[in-house]
Order: sequence, then C-alpha cells, then structure tokens
Amino acid sequence: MSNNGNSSLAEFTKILDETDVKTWIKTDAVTDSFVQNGFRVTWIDWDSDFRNSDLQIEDVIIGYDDVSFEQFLEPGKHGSAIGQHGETTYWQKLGGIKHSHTITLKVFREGKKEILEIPGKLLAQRFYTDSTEDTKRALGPGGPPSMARDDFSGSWSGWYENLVKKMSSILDGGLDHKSINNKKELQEHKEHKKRIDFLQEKYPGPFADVILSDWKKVYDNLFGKEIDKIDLEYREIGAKRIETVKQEAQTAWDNIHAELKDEMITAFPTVNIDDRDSVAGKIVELPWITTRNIINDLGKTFAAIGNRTKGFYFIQLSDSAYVRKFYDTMYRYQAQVSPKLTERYQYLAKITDEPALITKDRKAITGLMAKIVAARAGSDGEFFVDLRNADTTNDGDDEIQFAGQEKVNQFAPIKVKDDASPQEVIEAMIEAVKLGHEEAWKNLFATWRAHLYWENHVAFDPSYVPRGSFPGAWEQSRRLISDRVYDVRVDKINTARRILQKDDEFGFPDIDEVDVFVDHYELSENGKYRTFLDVNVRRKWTLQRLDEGPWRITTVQRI
Amino acid sequence: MVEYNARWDEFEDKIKATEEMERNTKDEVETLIILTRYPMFTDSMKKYMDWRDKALNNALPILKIESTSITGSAQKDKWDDYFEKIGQEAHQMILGFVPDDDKTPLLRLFVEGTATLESIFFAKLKSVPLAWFQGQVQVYTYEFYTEMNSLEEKWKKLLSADQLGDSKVKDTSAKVLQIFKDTVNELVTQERAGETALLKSISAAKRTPGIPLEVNAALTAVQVMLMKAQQLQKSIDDLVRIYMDAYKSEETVVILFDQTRSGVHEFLNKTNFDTASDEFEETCKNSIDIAKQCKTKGQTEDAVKFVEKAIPLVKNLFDEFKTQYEEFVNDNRGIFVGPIGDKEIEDLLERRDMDYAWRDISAFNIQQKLKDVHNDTVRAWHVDINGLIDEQKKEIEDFWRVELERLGRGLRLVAEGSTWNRTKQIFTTNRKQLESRISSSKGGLQ
Repeated sequence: MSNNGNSSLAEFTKILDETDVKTWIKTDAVTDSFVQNGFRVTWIDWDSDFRNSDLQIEDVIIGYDDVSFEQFLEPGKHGSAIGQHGETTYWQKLGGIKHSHTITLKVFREGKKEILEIPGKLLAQRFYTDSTEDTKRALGPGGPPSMARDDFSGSWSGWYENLVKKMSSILDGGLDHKSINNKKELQEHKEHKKRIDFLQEKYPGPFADVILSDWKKVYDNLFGKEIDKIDLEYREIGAKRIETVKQEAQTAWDNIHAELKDEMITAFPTVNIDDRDSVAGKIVELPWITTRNIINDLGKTFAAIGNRTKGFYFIQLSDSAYVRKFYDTMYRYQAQVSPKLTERYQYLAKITDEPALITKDRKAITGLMAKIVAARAGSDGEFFVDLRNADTTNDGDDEIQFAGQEKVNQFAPIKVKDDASPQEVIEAMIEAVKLGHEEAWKNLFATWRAHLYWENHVAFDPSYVPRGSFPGAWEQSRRLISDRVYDVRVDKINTARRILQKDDEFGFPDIDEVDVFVDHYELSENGKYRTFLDVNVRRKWTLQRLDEGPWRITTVQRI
Repeated sequence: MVEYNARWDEFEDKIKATEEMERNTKDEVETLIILTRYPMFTDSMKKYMDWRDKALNNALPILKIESTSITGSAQKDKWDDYFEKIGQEAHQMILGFVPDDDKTPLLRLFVEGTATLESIFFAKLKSVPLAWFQGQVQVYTYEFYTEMNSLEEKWKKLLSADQLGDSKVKDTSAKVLQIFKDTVNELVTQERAGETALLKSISAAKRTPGIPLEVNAALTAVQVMLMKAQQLQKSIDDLVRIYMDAYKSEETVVILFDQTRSGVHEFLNKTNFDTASDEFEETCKNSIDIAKQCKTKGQTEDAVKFVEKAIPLVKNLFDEFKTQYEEFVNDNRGIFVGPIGDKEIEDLLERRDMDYAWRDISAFNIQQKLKDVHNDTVRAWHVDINGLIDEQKKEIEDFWRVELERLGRGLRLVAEGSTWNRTKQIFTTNRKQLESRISSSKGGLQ
C-alpha cells in the first residue's frame, strides 16, 4: 500500500533495539596519507542523522569527542571504527549508548586548516514498512517495498543498493581518482531518473526526497561545469595566424622591392670580385637557401649563396648584429604565430666592397660579401623582417617587428618563477602546450623521482630523468589542445604534504608533494564549453619540490 | 675483489651496526628474521658491488668513441643517459634487496638511504665533464684538420689567382718592351729613309739646278713616324689597362690573403693549444672536484678512482689534438701563422719577376729613345744645302722647321704622356703598398 500522504511517517517506522546504534555512515580506512590518516566518508545513509550535519563524502574522520581513531588504523583493527562493519559492536561495547546519543566527529577536510567538529546522533536500526499493517519491509517509511518491482526490471532494494554504490563511487572522488568517462556515466545515471520520478510519485516522503537530491548531486557532478566563452586566441597559432602574417609578409616583400628598385641589380651572374667596386652598395634578391647553404669557415658561420658557374655571395651569420636581430625576430614569430617554420630563408642583401675567400665542399671559392637588408623565411615566406632600420649598435634592446606582428595579438612569454605556486606551474604547463613551447613545457617536469613504493615508504631517486616519455606526451597534448580540448583550468589543489624528511646521512632532501586537479573543457552541443573526463585526458597532476625549491610536475603525461 | 671497493668497507660497517641496533630492539623470534635477513642482504650488496664495478667500467668506452661528427654535447648526452640509466637501476636494485615488510625497519631505512645515496653517486658522476670535453676536443681536432686542408686550398687558390695576374703582367711587360723596340727600330728606319730621300733629292737639285726638290719621301717618313708614335701610344694605353686589371686582381688577392690571415688570427685566438690545454686541465680538475663531492668517504674514493681512470682516455684524444694543432701551425707558419715569410711574399707578389720586368722596361728608357730618335732625325735630316738656289733653300728650311717640329711634338707626347706615369705608379708605389699590406697583416698567433 502506498503512502497516501495522510498517515504519519512514524507509523511506518519501528525500532527493535535501542542500543543497536551507529552513525549510518560508510567509510574507508586511510592509512598511507602523508596529510591525514583516518576514515574517509564514502557514503552517508539516507536516514543517518549526519545527513542533517555538515559532514561530507570524502571527509576524513579522525575521531569523535575525545576519542582518537589512531588505534583503529593499525592493520586488522579497522573493523570497529565508524563506518566499518563492526561499528555497532563498538558502541555496544562502550555500554549505555542508546538511540539518539549525540557524538561530535573530529573531521579533516581537504582545504580546511582546522579539524572540524561535526555533531550528530547515533541512531538505532530502523525498520520501515510500506503500510501500517507491517506487511512488507520497505526502504523508507511508506515504501517502496524492498522486494517489489513496480514494473521495473529489478527489486527496489537491488536497484537502490546498486545506485548507492555507483553514486558513492562518483561522489567519493570518483572524478579525481578513477578512470571515469563522465558522459557515459551521465547517460547511465539519467536512466535512473524514470524510476526516481516514479518513486516521487508513488512513494513520496523523505526517502524519495533524499534519493532525488543525491541523484541531482551526482548528475551535477557528472554533467560538469559550463562556461560561455574561452579565449581561443592560442588556437589561432597555426593556420589562421600564419595566413594573416603571410599576407602581410608578401605585401612587405613587394613593397621593399618597389622602394629599393633603383638600387637593385640582378644577382647572377655576379661580377668578377676584382670589379666589386662597380656593384658595391647595390641590392640583390638572393635565391632561397636552406641549412645546406650554411658553412663554417675558420670558426665563423656563413651562408654561401650561388654556384661556381654564376658566382657566390657570402653572408656572415655569426657575430653579426643584423643576423642576431633577424633570429630574435624569427623566434618571436615562432612564439607568437607558429612554432613551426621551415628552415628556408631568402635575403635581400646589400653588396659590400669586400671580397671573400671561403672553403665550401673542400674547395676554396671566392665571392662577394653582402649584408642582410631584409629577409623572409618559411615554406611560403610567411615570415618577413625588414632590417633596414635595425639598431645594430646594441645587442637587441630594440625590437624589430616582423611583418604582420601588429595584426596578431601578443602572447605573454611563459615565465615561471622559482617560487611559483603549484597552480602557477600547472597553468604555465597548460600555456606552454597551448602555445606549442615544448622546451618551456619540458622544464616544468621534475628531474628526480620520489614515489611511494610500498605502503608509506618513499623511494627518492635523484638519477631519474623522464626523458623517454616526453615526445609522446607532448604530441598527444598538442593534438588534444588543437582538437577536442578547448581549455584546461585548475579546478582544485589538495593540501601539500611532506612525503620525505631531510636526512643528510642518507642524502634525503625535504620532499613536499601536492595534487592539482584540472578541468578539461570541450565544446558541447549547446555551443557552450563543458568539462569532460575520459581516459584520453589527465585530471590529476602531482607536483613535488625538493627542500622547498621550485614545484615541478612528477609524471610526464598528456594534458 | 671489486675494483671500486672503498664503498664496500662502508657498507660492511654500516650493515653490521644496523644489524646490531636492530637486534637490540627485537625479541627472540624477530631476531631469527634478522639472522637470516642481514646475511642475505649482505650477499645481495656484494652482488651489487660487482654490478657497480661493471657499470662504472662500462661507462669508459664512451670516452673512447672517435668520430669526425662527434660533438661535446652529443657525448655529454650519451654520458648523461648512461649514468641516469645505471643510477635508476642501482636505486631499484637496492630497494629490492629486502622484502616489503616492516620486520626489519632499520634495515629498511638503511636500504632506502643506500638506494638514494647510490643514485646520488651516479648522478654526481653524470655531471663529470670528461665526456663533454672528450667530444669537444675531437671537434677542435677535426676543426684544425679541416681548416688545415681548407687553408691549403685557399693558399693554392690565392697563388693561382695571383699567378694569373702576374703572368699577365709579365706577358704585358714583354709585349711592351717588344713594342718599344719595334717602334724605335721602325722610327730609326724611317729617320734613315727620310735622311736618304732628302740627301738624294738635294744632290739631284744641286746637280741640276732648277729641278724641283723631292721631299715627299721624307714627308712620308715623318708621317710614318708619327703614325708609329700614335700606335705606340695606343699600345701603351691598352697595355696600361691590362696592368691596371692585373693590379686590381693582385690587390684582391692581397685583400683575401690579409683577410684569411686575420681569420686565422681570430680562429687561433679563440682556440689554440694553450686555451685547449687550460680547458683540459680545468675539466680534469672539475671532474676530480665533483668526484670529491660525493656523499660518503667511500663513494668519494671510488669516484676519484673512477675519474682518475677515465682521465687518461681523454688525454689520448687531447694528445691527438695537440699533434693536429702542431701540424696546423707548422703547415701554415710563414703563410697564415706568424709573420709572413719572404718566400711567401715572393710566391704571392713575385717581386723579382716584377722587378725584372720593370727594370727591363725602365732600362730601355723609351722617353730617351724617342728623344734620341727626334734628335737624330733633326741632326741627320739637316743635310748640306749649300749649292741650292735660295728658293729651294727656303723650301727645305721650312720643311725642317714644320715637319721636324711636328715629329718632335708627336714623339714627346708619347714619351712624356700620363699613361707612362700611370704605368710607373703601378710598378712602383702601388705595388709597394700591396707589399706593405701583406707584410703588416696579422696572422695566427701574432
């Protein structure tokens, strides 16, 4: 018989033994934490009095009143602690404790500096029926009957047990610690809604209300966060920014030709070097060159452009202020527009009155020295810089702009201070991935390894360098950020813990560790950006520092 | 018996001390565990020491790698990779020597500490810069080898370019001299032809008074002489142009030579035996210093022993560099290294040939010859005109005045023209300047 709403709920509730009490909380023992051991709350039963308190899933209970749970943390002694299978026996052994006895839990909560004190009542086991005739055992006062199905595929008790198990696993750090596909989980979770709606309709009451509330909480958790806008300028690195800059580069290239047309001569064949005076000061457009044109001669680097038949021009690349400016500007282009720039170069160069003798392919060749006036680079000449106004008296204080620089928004350089927080380090890592700065990204990883190898024993290996893992993680990260992942943001940071104490005799430094959790955003069907989680992305990032030095990421992994 | 055994003594002492402490904290049953576990651990550590010996010695072949494409950084990477790998292996190996339990906590702590200390030991050796220098010194050796060949090529190129110019100058000088001689001969022939024609015409007029004087042949001689003078002028102009071109070419050679010497000067300033030697000494010193920074005395002794064994391997390559360096310096001494030698200046400028060429030209003294031709013509053509009628006397005197004057002007123009001065300047002042530039140029090690 369903509760029609007129009967008192107490009519459907019976207590058989007033001393058969417990908290109606479920916990897992935590014995290997460097922050706080205790009993982590994994679930609070719907009819636990602690539902009315501030107690939360994932809180770590370290004791109650004046009692510490340290004794229960020893191996084989967990069973009598709060939330464990033998909890009732514990309270009974104490004697004199009855239904509604109030205790105050001592609770450690991530992110709180102080230990929380949370009062609540121990309650005896309650038996619910779906009718006053006490005919059928129910999950809550007034129903649903435990063994009934109401046209659903399984009994209410079986369904509820599975639902609680699932909800507990999600709310108990499921997203942080387990390999979860939130979309798949959400889909499965939604399938319960029909039964929950039925429950609301047919068996209204506190049980149905709590289930709905729990269901919503899990739903929100799995649904994720939504935001309307993300700064996607970084995505412009690559095709779009290159296209913008390339057009500007072509225009600038054409313009400089027009401006210099009176000074320009055909580059090849070159005049005999004895007649260099006749061409000194003239400008030539040299053909495209690659790194194969670059040669070393007596410790200096030159670009040798031309051939034995038509003659050579030489451009000194080392110890040249012009060339330094050129490369400075090119590196800026790679940081702001695209890290990929094919090593192809073309110069407009001014012929000097200086002949040169250089050895190329083991043969001494002569040619005319020239100085770069302007240059372009890349597979399509997408980078162009005019060096005519470059101040070559200093080593780079002035900033020469590449063509189109003013048309693209500037990214701030990635700089991580030694005292950067874990959040700042992770944000720099994300930024490096977005901007394609592999070296900056690499530098954020630890060059040591300190890990729990057995229980709470930490092994510190200062020889460890994660070199081999870098290429794959970098490629995958870049692929993700250019495709499905629109943004990665720090969600939360756990309390830092000291996992190893300094010991000079054994060479141990102080090692601190912290976990940072990030959210990955993808574009959802409604045009908004929503967090998601699956095996392709990494939510948890562990960082360590040695002797309070810079925080570094311990595991090389994709974003 | 292991080679790097200082650390073993420490291990033995520490293991014994730890066992003693552990025993004092345990009851009888637990003591049994200690009695079995410590000897097992000691055996494992002995095996570790054997492994460690091999691991250290297996690093040494890295210091024997020889290649022309080697670099300091590539060698350093190899060295780093190797020591990272064995450091991690050592760490894991030692950690695995006791079971994961808390039955012997002091041994557990000792194992964890030892694993870390051994990892630090290998990390320290990783930072020893011997491999980097081993690669770098080969870069230097190869650089000196290639630059030696390259400079040889450059020297050949300079000589051949210069010889091309020099032979042009020599050919030109020979041609100039020949033209001088031919022209002077021709002028003398014409002078004589004119004299003969005048004598013949005047004696006929004397024999048969009243017949007209025949001066056309003398006139023709003047014409021919003037034409020859003009041709001489043109030839000299053409030849001076060749001199100028040859000079420009020689000047280029001198500039290139000077540049190359200056390049070698800078090159040897940056890398030379002294700097490389200092670098080697610094590397050895730093390597020993790093080895001495190991955490324990035993590690330090082993590390120093290892570094001392490694240094001679690098020294072999440093000695090869020394040989190559000396070969480079010796091969180029007098050319690109040190003050330039007289022979090299001679090879490059061919002063003797040039001096001879100029001496022949100046000894021929074309100006004087032309003046002589004019004077001879004036003297020879002033034949005796007594016996001629007054009218004919006047006619012949007018002829002398006009034609000899014209001839004189024409020859003087050639003898004292600006082209001659230019030739003289090329052979004297300009060439001196080139010589001076070469002599004062700064070569390697100067």
